[in-house]
Amino acid sequence: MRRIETRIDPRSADFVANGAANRAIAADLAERQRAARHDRPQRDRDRLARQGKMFVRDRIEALLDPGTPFLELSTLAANRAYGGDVPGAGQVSGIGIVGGKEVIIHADDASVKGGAWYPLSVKKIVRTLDIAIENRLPVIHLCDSAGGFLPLQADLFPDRQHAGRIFRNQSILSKMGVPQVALVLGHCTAGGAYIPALSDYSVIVKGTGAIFLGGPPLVKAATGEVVSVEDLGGAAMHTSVSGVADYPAASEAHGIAITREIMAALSPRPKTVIDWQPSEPPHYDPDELYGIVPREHRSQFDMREVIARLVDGSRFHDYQPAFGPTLVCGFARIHGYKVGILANNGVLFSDSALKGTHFIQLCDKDRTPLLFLQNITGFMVGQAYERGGITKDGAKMIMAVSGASVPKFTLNANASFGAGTYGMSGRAFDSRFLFSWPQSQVGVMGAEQAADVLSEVKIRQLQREGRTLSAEEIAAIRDPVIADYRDQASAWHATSELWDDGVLGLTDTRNALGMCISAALNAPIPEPGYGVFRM
Amino acid sequence: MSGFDAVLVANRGEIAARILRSVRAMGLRALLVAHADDVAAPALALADDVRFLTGPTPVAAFLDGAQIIAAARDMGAGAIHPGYGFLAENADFAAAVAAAGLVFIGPPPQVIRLMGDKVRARNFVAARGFPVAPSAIEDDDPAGFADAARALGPPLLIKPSAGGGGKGMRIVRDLGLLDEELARARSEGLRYFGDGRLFVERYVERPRHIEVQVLGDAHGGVVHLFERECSLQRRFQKVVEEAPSPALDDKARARICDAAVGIAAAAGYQNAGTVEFIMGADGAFYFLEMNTRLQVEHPVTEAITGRDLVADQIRIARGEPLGFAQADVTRSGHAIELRICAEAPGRDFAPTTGPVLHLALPAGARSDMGVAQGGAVTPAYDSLLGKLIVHAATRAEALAAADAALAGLVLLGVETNIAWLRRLLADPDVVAGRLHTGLIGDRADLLAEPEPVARDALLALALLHSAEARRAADAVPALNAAMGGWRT
Amino acid sequence: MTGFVLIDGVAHPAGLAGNATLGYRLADGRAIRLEGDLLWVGDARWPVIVARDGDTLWAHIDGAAHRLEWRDAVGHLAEAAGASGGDAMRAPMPGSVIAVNVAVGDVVAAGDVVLVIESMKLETAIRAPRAGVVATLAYGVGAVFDRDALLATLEGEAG
Repeated sequence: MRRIETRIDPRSADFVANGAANRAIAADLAERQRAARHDRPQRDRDRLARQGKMFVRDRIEALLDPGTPFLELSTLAANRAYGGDVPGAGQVSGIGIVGGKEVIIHADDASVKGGAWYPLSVKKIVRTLDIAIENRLPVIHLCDSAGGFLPLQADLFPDRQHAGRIFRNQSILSKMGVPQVALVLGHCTAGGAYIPALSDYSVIVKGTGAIFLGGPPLVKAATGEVVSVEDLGGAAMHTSVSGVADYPAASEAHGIAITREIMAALSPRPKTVIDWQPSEPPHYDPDELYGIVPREHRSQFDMREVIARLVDGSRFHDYQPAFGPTLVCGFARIHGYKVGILANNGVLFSDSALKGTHFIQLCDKDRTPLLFLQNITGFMVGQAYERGGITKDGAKMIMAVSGASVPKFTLNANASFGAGTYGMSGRAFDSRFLFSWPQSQVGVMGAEQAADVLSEVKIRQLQREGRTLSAEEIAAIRDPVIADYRDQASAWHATSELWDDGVLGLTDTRNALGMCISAALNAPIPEPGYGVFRM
Repeated sequence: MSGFDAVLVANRGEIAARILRSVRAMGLRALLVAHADDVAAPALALADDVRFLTGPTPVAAFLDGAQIIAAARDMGAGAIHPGYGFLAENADFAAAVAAAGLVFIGPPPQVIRLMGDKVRARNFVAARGFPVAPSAIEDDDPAGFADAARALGPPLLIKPSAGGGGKGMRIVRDLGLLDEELARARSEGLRYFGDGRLFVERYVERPRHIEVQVLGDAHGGVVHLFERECSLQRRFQKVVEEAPSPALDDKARARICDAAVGIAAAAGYQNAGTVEFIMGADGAFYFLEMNTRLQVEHPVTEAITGRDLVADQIRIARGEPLGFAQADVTRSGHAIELRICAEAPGRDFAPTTGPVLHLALPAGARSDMGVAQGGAVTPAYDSLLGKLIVHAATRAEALAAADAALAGLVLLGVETNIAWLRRLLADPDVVAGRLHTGLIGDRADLLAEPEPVARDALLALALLHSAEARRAADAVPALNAAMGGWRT
Repeated sequence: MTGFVLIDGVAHPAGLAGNATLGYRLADGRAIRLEGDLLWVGDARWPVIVARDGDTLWAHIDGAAHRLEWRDAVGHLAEAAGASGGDAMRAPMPGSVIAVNVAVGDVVAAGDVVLVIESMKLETAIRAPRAGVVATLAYGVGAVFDRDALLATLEGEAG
């Protein structure tokens, strides 16, 4: 594969200005992540210390194999919900290595509202277990939750994707033969009690860990029985009498060590083999991404420059280089794994949609995972394009994206709007992982378009009332709409709602994708098969 | 008097090897008794002939005088050098050696007997006008002994009348514990010296231990070879000795050395001996005891005087005159000896045992070692493995040389006091020469091993050698291993 | 962290990163390797002399000898959690028993001498760590034991 020839000029005013803007955004991301991970009310910190509990992040660091990476997912979940009081949705989720095995970790964060489950907490746990199912990743549950947050129970309990889904997913994982280990570090009450009970292995820490359907106060209210936490559901009782848990641990550190030993003792399972070669770093410095990604949303940029800073040796095999140029397709390697990349260099036309559809099928037959690099405002509109059948060509692309059997990975690199989101494997299309860059936007259409549509309605109404509007008056209507829409379309909002699996720093992207591809290969790749392509 | 051409060394460890070297250097046959569990000791390689001793314990074998004398005769020895410890200060043994027609390399039995009885020795010295510390003596009044001791007032020092080398000595600061400590000291005295009698002295706070090496011949000649300062002690046992003492100017040196010569001469002393004094902060000194043998720390005297004390002992035992006068004895520079012990300073100097897996001696120092690579340290004997002796122009240079020698001494397989000795030598009071016998006890902060500077290197070494750690690392998927501890 | 390294008896959590192909590393990423008598830790170079005695590794480094022992995490942490009991009297050094002052079932106060041991011509009293009842006595007079041997245990009246 040939090295991409860069055309950027690092001394250009544009490059320098982009760099400044994107580095400021990167600093903003880093600060938001730091705050979500570490800023806690002192009284919550004190309570953990009093209970002799480790902070959830220290638990995870102790759990991971030394000197191995951790890809945290959805760090900023709920960052714009619940008044910002539930950082990370009170959960830590991520992919790491424990006992030599790739695992996904689900950890309650007891420093956030005692680890209570909010609606977005449930969404994050369910998503974590969906990832486990889709990729057959073993799960380690670090259980330390006060239970569901009662005032919002209607938004976390009854529906299909609510709390019950956690336990359903656990059962499905077990049925699939994907191991789960639960480490009980706090109280697992009511529904929470099923997490260790449904895990293949469970470890419970003496003194702090407890499992029961109803805690001592509830038992007393219900039956009048007075019983201590230890006697009702402590480590000794469950590991020697009830058999609800398997291993008693003398301390959190001991419990973590037992968990690590369990993972290490599991037989390694063969992974799906795809084309792989020894990895090489990109030829071009990934730091240059800061100068390449435009500071103005609507400025176009060549996605090949981004590819050159993500892939091995900056090498890229350009498929149909002369056809459908607004969709760049081709092969490259990330950490040695061959991937087929679809990247937007403009609006999708019929030819680019057909090119993409064909390329997806090539990759599917070739057992080559797909990477979608989104910067898409949508499909081309207009009479000529409708007559040319742009809708059926878009449908073909959506059909191919939906039907592809190989793992898909999606990065919203800048923009993901309208039907373009569908064609480029948006959230609904079951990419194994979907990440956003911090400056990216997602929505049914671009902010300006949306603002035009929304303000147009208002302006027409006023005009019908006989009012003529000055440019200032029109702006006064339009500007707040734009601001509001941009806010809703921002990566911060998307990630808060778990529309993605997290916001990635530009230079973190390559490693994150490498870990995701590797994780995805724990699941087999089914034979290709598609629905009906409208010809 | 008695010529001899074969010398049996009735000892083990570093001192056996050290004596054998001089015996060989003088062209005499070097003979050795040893215990079968000590075959890897370096002394065996230096001996022309070896007989193995047997006994209920290895120590008991070395205390079996009859067996040793029989071995000596069997091997054709003309003289027996007892070294230190074991039978070195046993007057009956010295007499038995003579009775067997052999030469005992040491003073006459009656001198050993006089000085071996701490109480008699003390009275002898006091009667001749030399200074001694206030004391209570059990023999004088067994019934009133404890009360008399109590009346001296704390702090007190309990000593076995027949003791030596710090065995059975105890400091009592709380008189409530006096009875218990007396009982324990009596038990140890009985065990080690076969004699449970005790005496109690007023303990001089923060004293220095200064001792003077003397040599006396059979012709009435007595000289001193200057002093050694041995104030750095733990459990009343010396660990670092030096010569000259940093506490003495020439005038004070002359006073204490002259007193030592006076005591030796009064006792009719022959051969090598050491007169020990304690010296208070005010410079006043008191007679402590006289050791009628070669001392562990004799090499520092050899270093500054250029003499071979074992050769001197042998010549004196042959009846030769000293051959030099006091004025001929000169000294140069400063020498320090470090006792390398199998012990754990961090666990109250508890003895340690283990195989000697690797032993490499440092350059720039005299190494008198009692163990060799391939041997083992067992609980059968005391913890002294050997000694390093450095000699330099000044005390500061000697301290630097001592530290370098300790750093260069490689001894693997047994916990030792080497690292602690380095910390001790770096102590500001030690550097300044402000020594006293309680210094080590006061510096408990030096006992614990600090986190090593090379901690990460040690962790790396242990990890690289752990098959389990390597297996765990190798189990990590290559992609993830290559990323290292990457975090978003 | 995959285990603990005892450096001279002091436990340090430790784990090896990297692998045989890439080269091994410390968890912080510094490459480590042994080249004969040279140990590399990142850019630092340490001359070392190493000797092995069963599971114990002895190393002379930076002018000092150290005893290194590997402990698996589960065993070490279980032991660390159980060590605070205060029921056990262990031998501070190898040696032999020269006196046993109590019998099983005797009530002892904290500090009472339970037995007296001797090692390298040194007597040491083994005292009760707390008040209690003597539960076991493992060695009689004359018996020989290794360092850390369990000499006696207490039960009841936990202090």
